[in-house]
Amino acid sequence: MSCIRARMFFAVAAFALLPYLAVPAADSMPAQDAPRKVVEKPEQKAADKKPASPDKAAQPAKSISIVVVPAKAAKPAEKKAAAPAKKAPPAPEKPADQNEAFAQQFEGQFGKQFQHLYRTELHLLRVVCKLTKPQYQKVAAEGEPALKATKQKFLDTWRNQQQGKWDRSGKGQADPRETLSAELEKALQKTLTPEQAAAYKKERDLRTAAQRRAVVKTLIVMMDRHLVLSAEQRDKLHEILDKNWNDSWYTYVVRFGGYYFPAMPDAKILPILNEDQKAIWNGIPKANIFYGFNGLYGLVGDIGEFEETWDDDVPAKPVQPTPEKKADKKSKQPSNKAEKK
Amino acid sequence: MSATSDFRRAFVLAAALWPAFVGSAAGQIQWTDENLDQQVFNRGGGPVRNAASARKELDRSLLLIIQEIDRVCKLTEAQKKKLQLAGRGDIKRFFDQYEVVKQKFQRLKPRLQGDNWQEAWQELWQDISPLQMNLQSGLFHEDSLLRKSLRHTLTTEQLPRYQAQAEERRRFHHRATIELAINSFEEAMPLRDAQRQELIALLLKELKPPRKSGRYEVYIVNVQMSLLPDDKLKPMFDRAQWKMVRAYLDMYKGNVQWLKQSGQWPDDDDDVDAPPADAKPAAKRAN
Repeated sequence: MSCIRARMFFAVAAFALLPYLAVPAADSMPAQDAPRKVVEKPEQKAADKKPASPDKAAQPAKSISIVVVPAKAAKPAEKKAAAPAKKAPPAPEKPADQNEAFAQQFEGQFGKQFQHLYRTELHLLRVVCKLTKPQYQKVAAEGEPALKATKQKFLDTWRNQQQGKWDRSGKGQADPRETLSAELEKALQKTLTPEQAAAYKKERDLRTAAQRRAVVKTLIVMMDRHLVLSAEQRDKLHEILDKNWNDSWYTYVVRFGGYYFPAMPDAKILPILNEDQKAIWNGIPKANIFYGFNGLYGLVGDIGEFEETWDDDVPAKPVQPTPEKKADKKSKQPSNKAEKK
Repeated sequence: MSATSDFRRAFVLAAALWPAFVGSAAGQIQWTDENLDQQVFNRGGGPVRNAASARKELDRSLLLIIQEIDRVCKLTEAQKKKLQLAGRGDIKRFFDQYEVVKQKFQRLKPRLQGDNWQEAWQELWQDISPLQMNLQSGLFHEDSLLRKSLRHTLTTEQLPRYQAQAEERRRFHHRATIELAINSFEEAMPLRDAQRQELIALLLKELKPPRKSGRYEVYIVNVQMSLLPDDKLKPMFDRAQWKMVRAYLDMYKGNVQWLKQSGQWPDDDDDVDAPPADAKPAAKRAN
């Protein structure tokens, strides 16, 4: 657990330095800060990301540059041929290999997190749709393409980032759970009954609404900290943000813990501010952090694997209990009332 | 591992990343006053602020706070002046601390440019970090001279009006933070809407808002939530969920001390706006 805490604090430190690590948005990115192009293999990245010691730092760096791996046109036929070339002299990298390497690296780094995402979402589906164990197993099998599609979307985003092709539209900051649940809804169209599908859809909509409420409120709080808004201004702002909702706000606000501002509808906001508030608001940086995809919420991987439990689950290593132990064990078994709820 | 050593590690990480954003050329790190300002006055990228621009912004913030109190309490000119004085005291206190760090930075410069710069940087970072945090969480927090002076400046008629307004604002912030924390949590474990609403209601009832606003508010909600007795949380989750919830919350346990040390942990008797026992008559304070 202490290791987990250490990791958490590392994340806090990294978070503090985020402005310097993230890619500035297009409008705030001066030409001299444009990404440097460095040809490298994906597996070299980890080593190269280590900060250079002062005596080794050879290149001037005004801010951290994003490492760019030049993209090459993929030729599927070369994929197999390149694999056994272990003893051959180093040849120019095959693009297909590179894509494969990215996919493998992505799976190694984030595969478990996506599995967790999938299992927990299936659990929600199970509870909401009141699935029996066989139904659940069917849904879990038929939902696999949804997991695959979700991973593919984030793999594409991540690979582009690794290659320096950052999408500054905000799409790269999509919410993985929302993406997965949308894919699941599609994949399970024929598996779920109309009632079950409707129940899941309703729950998804309620979640989206809750997210939106939380984000809008957080944005108002963030503004209030700077601008000391009146209650009336907060109400107006609520209306403005709700009407001008932007999907990218969710990840922006949740990921950054309600600290950095995304792009805001200033044309609508400024008229409700007084002159002093306007002066402060105009000086606050907005949308100058671009996080992209760098794994799911930092802590997901640390809380262990999600295990679906059923009333008829048999313990993995059944011990032959004595009659006395048997009775004792029965009394200690967790209640499954909540499960049935 | 203690929270202190965790933070030492965080400082080391910050130190490790430092050369990446101070200008470096031909192996020599360039340590300029701008680098220091960038660290202290950093607010999430954008145009780099320096002491002068930060001071200007703080003056404006003070003005906005007094305007808001005036809107609710209808302050006299004398009261406005008293509050301005107190607020400027907070700003001065901050810049005095900044000057101390700046002097230390000048003293450490030779070491920072030497081979053992990490050690010097760590020494400096220990002073920069609280300064940065103070600025980010806002100088006019509950323990500020400005807020404390309100108790002695406002009349007995004005004070309840101010308290009601401050309480309403605090509740609004607190609720938003709780909802945000639950959304973050749902990245790990999705909830049904009924569970979500039940959890929000429980947290609103059980948790206290932090003493200072800022980037650790969600974190403080999670730490407070981790300390709630199981019998309050467990009934609202099913068996599989509860295992995840407990594991998630356990990660936050044990960080109370650091939050207390940094003055962010809500006190048990957190009622900073309560009128002091030695409250002066309304008419005297109004003048």
